Amino acid sequence: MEITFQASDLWGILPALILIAFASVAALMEVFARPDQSRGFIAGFGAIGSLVALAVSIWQWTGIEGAYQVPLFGKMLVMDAFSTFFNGIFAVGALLACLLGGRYLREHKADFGEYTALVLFAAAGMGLMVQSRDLVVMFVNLEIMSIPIYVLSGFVRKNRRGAESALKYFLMGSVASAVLLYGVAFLYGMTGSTDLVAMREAFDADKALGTSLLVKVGMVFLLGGLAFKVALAPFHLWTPDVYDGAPTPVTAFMAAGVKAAGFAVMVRVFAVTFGFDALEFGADGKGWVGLFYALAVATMFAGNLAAIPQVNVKRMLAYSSIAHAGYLLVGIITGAFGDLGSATSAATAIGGNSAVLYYLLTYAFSTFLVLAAISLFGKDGEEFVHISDFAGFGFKRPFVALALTLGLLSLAGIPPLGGFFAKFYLFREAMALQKPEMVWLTLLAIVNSMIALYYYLRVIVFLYMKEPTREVPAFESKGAVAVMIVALAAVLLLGLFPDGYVEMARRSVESLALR
Amino acid sequence: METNLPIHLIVFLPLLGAAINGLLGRRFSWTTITAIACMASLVPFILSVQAFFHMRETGAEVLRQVPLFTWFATGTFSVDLGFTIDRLTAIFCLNVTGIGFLIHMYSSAYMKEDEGYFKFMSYLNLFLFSMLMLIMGENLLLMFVGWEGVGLCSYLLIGFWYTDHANADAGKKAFITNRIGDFGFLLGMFFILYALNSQGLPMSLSFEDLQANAGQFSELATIIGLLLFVGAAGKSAQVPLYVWLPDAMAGPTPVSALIHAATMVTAGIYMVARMNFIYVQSPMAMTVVTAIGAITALFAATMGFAQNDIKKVLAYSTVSQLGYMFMGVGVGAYAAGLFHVITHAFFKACLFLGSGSVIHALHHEQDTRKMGGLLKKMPITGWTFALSTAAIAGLPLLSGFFSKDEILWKVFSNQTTLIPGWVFWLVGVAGAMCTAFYMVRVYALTFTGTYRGEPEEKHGHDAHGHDDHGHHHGGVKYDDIHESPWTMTLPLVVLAFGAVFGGLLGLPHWMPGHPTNQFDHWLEPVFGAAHGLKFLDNTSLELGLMAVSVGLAALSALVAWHMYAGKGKHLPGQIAERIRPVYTLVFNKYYVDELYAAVIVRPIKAFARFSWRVIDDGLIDGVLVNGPANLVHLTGRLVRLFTTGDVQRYAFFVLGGVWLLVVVWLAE
Amino acid sequence: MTIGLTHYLVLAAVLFGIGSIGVLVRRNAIVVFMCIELMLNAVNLTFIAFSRFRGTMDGHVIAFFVMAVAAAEAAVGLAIILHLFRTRKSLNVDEANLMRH
Repeated sequence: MEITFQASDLWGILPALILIAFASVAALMEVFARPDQSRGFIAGFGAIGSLVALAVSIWQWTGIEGAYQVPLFGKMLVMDAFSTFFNGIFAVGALLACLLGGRYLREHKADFGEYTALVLFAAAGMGLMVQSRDLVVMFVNLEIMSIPIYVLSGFVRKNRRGAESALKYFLMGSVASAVLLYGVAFLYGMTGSTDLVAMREAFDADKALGTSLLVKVGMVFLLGGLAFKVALAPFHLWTPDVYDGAPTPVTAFMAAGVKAAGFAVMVRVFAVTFGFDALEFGADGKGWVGLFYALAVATMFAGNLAAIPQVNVKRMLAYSSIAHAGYLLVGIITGAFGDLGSATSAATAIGGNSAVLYYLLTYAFSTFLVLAAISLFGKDGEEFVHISDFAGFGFKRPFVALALTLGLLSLAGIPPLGGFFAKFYLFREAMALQKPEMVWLTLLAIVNSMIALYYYLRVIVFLYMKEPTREVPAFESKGAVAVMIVALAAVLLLGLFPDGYVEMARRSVESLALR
Repeated sequence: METNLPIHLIVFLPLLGAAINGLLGRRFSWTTITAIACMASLVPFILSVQAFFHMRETGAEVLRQVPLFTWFATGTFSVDLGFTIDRLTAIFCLNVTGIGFLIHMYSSAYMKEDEGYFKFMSYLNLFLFSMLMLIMGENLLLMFVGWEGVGLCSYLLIGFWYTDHANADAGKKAFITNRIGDFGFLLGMFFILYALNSQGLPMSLSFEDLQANAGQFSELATIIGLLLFVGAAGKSAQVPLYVWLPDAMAGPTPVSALIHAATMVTAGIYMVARMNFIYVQSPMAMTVVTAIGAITALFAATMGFAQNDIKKVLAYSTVSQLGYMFMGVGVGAYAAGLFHVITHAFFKACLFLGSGSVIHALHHEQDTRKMGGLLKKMPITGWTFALSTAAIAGLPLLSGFFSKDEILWKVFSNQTTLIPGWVFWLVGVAGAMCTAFYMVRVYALTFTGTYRGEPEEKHGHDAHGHDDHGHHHGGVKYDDIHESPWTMTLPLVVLAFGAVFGGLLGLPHWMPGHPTNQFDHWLEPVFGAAHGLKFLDNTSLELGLMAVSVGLAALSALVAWHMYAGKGKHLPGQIAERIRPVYTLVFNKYYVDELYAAVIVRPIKAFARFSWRVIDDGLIDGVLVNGPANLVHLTGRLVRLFTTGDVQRYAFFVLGGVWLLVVVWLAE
Repeated sequence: MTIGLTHYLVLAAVLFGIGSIGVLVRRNAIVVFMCIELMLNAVNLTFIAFSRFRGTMDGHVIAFFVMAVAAAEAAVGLAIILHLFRTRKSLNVDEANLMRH
C-alpha cells in the first residue's frame, strides 16, 4: 500500500472535489440563512454544483483516449472512461435529487439545507467508490456514500416511518459493511494486497490459490456486502422498508445512484478483475458463476413475485428495483465470461458489461421519471402512495400522469422506450454467448419481465381507468416538472437513438482492461 | 425500389391524429374530433390505394423510402427504423386503412353520446398507427413494437367502459394470454439472433436479410417457427390462447369490428405469412400450425351454438375463421390463407357493425332471445347482415365461398404436413357445417319471426349487457325501433358489397376466363420460398370436394333455418329449390326433428355447453381470471413470510445468506 | 505452544461470530450497534494478524482506516438511534416495524 500524492492527481478526482466543495458551502449556507427563509435556493446551488461536476465529467470522458487509465494517489484510485461515465450518472442523479428535493421538503415541513449537502456528499462518495482500485479505499468510499444516505432516508423528521427507515438501513448497512470488510481481510491475507491489479497478479501467479477455503469465504463475503447495497436476494429484505420510509426524492437517488455505484464496483471487481479465466476455480466451471446464476434467478423471482401483491406504489417500485438487479446480474455474468485483455473474448466482456452500463443509465432515468411524479403526492410528512390514490389522476394532471406512465412502461421494457432497448441489448448479449445455461437464464429473465408488466400496468390502469375514491393532496413543483422533462427526454433518446450511448458504454468498458 | 410516395405518412398520420385528439380533444367539439380522426384514417387509405396502383402499374415488388434513421447499430447488429410496402403489406394496408376508415366513420355516430368520445377516437387512431407499424415495419423488431402497441390499444379499448367489472376481467384475460404470446414472439426473435450468431451471419432482423439467410438455420427453423407461432396464436386467438377474444367483446362494438375481427387478430396470420421462409423449412412447424388451426376452427365453431349473446356468437365465429386462415398458411398456401383474411375482414366487420347497429337500436340489448323480427324495422342492417351471413356460410359465388373452399382444397391436397391433408379437410368441413348452422340461427333469431323484447315482458337484465354503460334498459318497444343513421349504415353497405363481390379479387383457376388466380399471382414474389411445396393438381377432385362441402354446409344451414325460423316459407327460393329432395326427406316428419334433436343437436349442445362452461368458465376463468387474484394472495403470503418488518430477521438473512453461499460453493 | 496466525484468525472469527449473534438477538438498538462495532474489530484483528504474518504494514494502516470509518458511523448511528428514541420512546429494534410486507 503506497499512498503518494501529486497535485496532478487532484485533476483525476475533480468531479468529486467539486461536489464536496459545493456540499461544504451548502452546509454553511444553511447556517447563515435566515430562519424564516426558504432553503430552496440551497438546493438550486447544489443543482449548479452537480451541473459543474457533470460538465467536468463529460469533459474528462471526451478527453480520455481509448483504453486509458490514470492511476491516482499511488494506486489507490484510477481515472478511466468507466469511472468518468459513472461520475456523470451520479452528477445527474444529484442534480435531479436537488431539483426534486427543494419543493418536496418545503411541503413536508422539512426544509433544511443539509439535504443538498448530504446529497452531494453521497454523490461524491459514489464517484470515488467507482474510481477505487484498492478494495480498502473502495470500502472507505462506500461509507462516504452510505453515511449521508442513512441520514437522508430519515430526513423528514415528522415522518415516523422515516426514523424507522433510517435505523433499519443504518443497522443493516453497518452489518453489510462489516461482512464486506471481513471478506476483504481474507482476500488480503491470501493475496497479500488489497490492490485489484496486484490481487489478480497473485491469482495468475499461483493457480491453486483460487481453490483455497479462505479465498472462497473472502469472495463470498465481499460479494455479500455488495449484494446488500444493490439489493440481491436474499440480501434484499431491507429494500422495501427503506424505499418506502425514505422521502421520495431520496428513494429515487438511492435507486438510481447507490444501485449504479454498487453494480459499477461489481463490474470492476467481479466481471473484470476476477473474471472467470482469472482464477483457477473459474476454469473448472466451479467458480463464482454458479453463485451468480443462483443469485440472479433468486433475485428476479423474489423481486417480481413480491411486487405483485403490493398496493403501496413505493414498495412495489422497491421490489421492482430488486428484480432489475436480477436482470443486471445476467449482464455481469455475461461480461465475466470474457476477458478485456484477450483477443478472442474481449468482445464478450465489452458486450456484457456495456449492457450493464446501458441498463443502469436507462434505469436511473426511468426511476427518476416515476418517482418524480410520485413525489408530488403528499403533505406534511405524509405521503400518498397507495395505488388507489392515483385513481383518475390521468386526466387531472395529464403531464404528470404521462410522465409516470412512460416511466413505468420504460421500467417494464415496452418499446420504443429506453428500458426496452436496455433489456433487449442485455438479453441479446447473453444469448450471443451461445451457452445453454445462459439461454435458460435469459429465458427466465424474459419470463420475469413478462410478469413485471402486470404490476406496472396496474398503476397505469388506476391512473386512466378508475374513478378517484378520495381527494389526495398533490402539490405543484417546477423542480419536479424539470426532472420529469429531463428524464423523459433521456428515456426517449435512449430508446430511439441508442447507438451513441451504447458506443459510450462500450468505450467506457474498454478502459477497464487491467494494466 | 425507392419511391417518392410518402410511405411514412401512412404510418404517422394516425399517430398525429391520436396525439391531437388525445392531448387537446377535451376542448374540441364533436365535429372537430370526428374530422381529425377520420382524416387521419382516410388520408392513409388514399395513400395506400395510390401505392397499390403504383405497384400494379410498374410491377414493382417493393416500395421503400430511405429509412427514417438507424435505430441502433452495434457491432454486426443493426436495426433501421424504416417502413416498406411490398405486395403482402399493400394488401394489408388497404384492409387496415380502408376498414379502419369505415369504422372511424361508424364510431362517430355509435359513440357520439359517450363523454369519452375524444379518448375513444384517439385510441382508435393510436391503434391504426400501431397496426400499420406492425405490417409496414421493415424488420422483425419494428413488427414487435407494433405488436405490443396493438396489444396495448386493445387492452385500453376493451376496458374503455371501465366501470363494468366484467370489462376489467376481460382486459385481464386478454392481457395474460397476450403476454404468453408475446413471450413466444420475443423468444423466437432471440432464437433467430442466436441462430444468426452461431452461423456467423450479420445479425440483421430486416425481413429481406432474414429471407436471404433463413436457409442457414435449418435445424433451428422448427423451434423458431413454433415459438413465433406461440406469439401468433396469442394474438390471433388460437387454441389454447383463444380465450381472451370472446371476452374482449366487452369493449364497444366498433372496437370488436376493427380490432377483434378485421385487423389485429389477423396479425398472427400476417406474421406466419411474413416468416414463410422459416416455416417452409420445417414440416413439423407447418403441421403444428395447421393442426392448431383445424382444432380451433372446429372447436370454436361448436362453441357458437351455446351462445345467446349476439356478439359472443360472432366472437367464436371469428376464432373459428382465424383457425381456417391458419390452416391455409399452415400448409403453405399463403395466398389462400391471406385471401380469407381479406374476405373475412369484409363480412365479419359487416356482421359486427350490423350487430352494433342492432344493439344501438335496442339500447344496448345483446341477447338474441330478446330480439326478432327486426328486418322490417331495420332493412339495411338486416339485408347486409343476411348477405354477410351467406358469405361466411359459404354460399357459392360470394366471397367466403371462394376463400374458404380454396383453403379447404389446399389443405386436402397438400403433401407437406406430417398428418395427411384429408384429416384436416374433414375437420374443416365439419367446422364449416357448424358455422353455417349457428350463423343462420343468429340471423333467424335476430331478424325473423316476432319481436320478443317488448318492455311489458319480464326481463332478466343481469344475464347480458356487456355493452351497457350506465343506460338503464327495460327493453325498447317494437314501434320505437329505428334504422341507424347513415354514418352507420353506409359502412354496412360498403362492407356488404365487399362481402358479396370480394371473391372477384381472387377467382380460382377453374373459373372460366381465369387461368391464374390473380390474388395468388399478385403475392407470388413474397412467397418465393414456398414454391417448392407440393400440392395435388386435380381440378375435378377439387370441384367434387367443393360440392360436398358446400352441400353439407347448405344442409346444416337449412336445418338451422328450419329450427329457428319455422317452415321453409322463409327460405331463399334458390337454395330451397336445389336441395328440395334432401329438404323434404329430412324435415317433413316431426319425429325426424326429434331424432335430429336427440342424436345431433343435443349432443352438440351438450358438448358446446360442456366446452363453454367447463373449459372456458371453469378451467380458463379459474386459471386466467382468478389466477392473478390467487397469485396475488399467494405472493402476499410469501412476502409476509420474509419481509416481516423486523430488522433482525433481515440481518439474519444477510448473515445466513453469505454462509449459505459459502456452503453452496464448497459443496458444488 | 506458539501462538500463530491461525489462533489470531480463530479469535477474530469467534469475535465476529459473537458480534453477529449479538446483532441477531439483542433488542436494544445501542447494544446491537455495539455488536456491529465488535464485528468491525474482529475484522481489524484479522487484518493485523495477516499483516504481521506477511511482514507488511498494509494491514496496520487499514485498521486505522477502519477505525476512522467506524467512528464516523458511530456518530451518525447514535444520532439516528436518538431520533428514533424521540419519536417512539423506546430503543427496542423489534418494535420498529411500522413498515412490512
